[in-house]
Amino acid sequence: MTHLGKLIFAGFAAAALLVAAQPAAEAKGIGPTGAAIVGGVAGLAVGAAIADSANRNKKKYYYNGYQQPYAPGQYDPYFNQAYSPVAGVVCYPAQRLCYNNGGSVNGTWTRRAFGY
Amino acid sequence: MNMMNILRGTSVALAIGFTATAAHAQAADDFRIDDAWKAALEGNEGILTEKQQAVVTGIAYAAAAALLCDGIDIDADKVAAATTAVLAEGPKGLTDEEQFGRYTNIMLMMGTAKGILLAEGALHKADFCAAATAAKTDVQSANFWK
Repeated sequence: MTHLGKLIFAGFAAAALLVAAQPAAEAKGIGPTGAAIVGGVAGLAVGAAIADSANRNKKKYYYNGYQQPYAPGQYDPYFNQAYSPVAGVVCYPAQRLCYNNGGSVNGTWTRRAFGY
Repeated sequence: MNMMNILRGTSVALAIGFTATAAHAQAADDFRIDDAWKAALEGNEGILTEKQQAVVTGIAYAAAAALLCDGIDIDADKVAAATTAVLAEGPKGLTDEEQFGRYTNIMLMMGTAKGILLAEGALHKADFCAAATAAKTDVQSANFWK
């Protein structure tokens, strides 16, 4: 995605969170100013999340027990690595989803391969 | 068979061959938007466990199918329970700011996955919806539909 694309996406995402945050804040009786503050915090969080996701070296936290799922030097191919459990089905471990050839998701193989 | 007929026959055979090859190549493609998935997943590396990633992807798929396919509706209670569980099972000792950042990352990941699946589904809607309808009737398959 281009830098402009990221900015546009960030704008839409921030707007969506603001829209989501305001009614919730108002429902708690904190009023428009409080809602704006909540929205501002949400906006900052979205901006930080998008900036951090674009730079993996800036990651601040990982889930407990995290281990790199790829060998050294294999970072790039890992996220699109796939295998075919049967003819016509392709499963993607990083995404935790299986597809059928032809353009559809295979729920049965997704459950078998990834337990969900 | 004269030379003209041989040439004509050869060109027809070649055309059939190319068509068959193209059809085979098309049938053998899952039409996943690889570059989009890679960009989305690598930005989220380490935030979600494999099981949590499966849940988030599953919710995104359910949401995309509910938007594109007739007769498929989201079960908001199932989505809420699963999302709450994913958000609650984070690393220990995060600051409030990091916790909020983690929530935001997960919500963005879910939205991004939903968007990519919407695009994939819209491009091959008949196949996408037929598979979703079949998955809905698979009693063993966990899903987020009513």
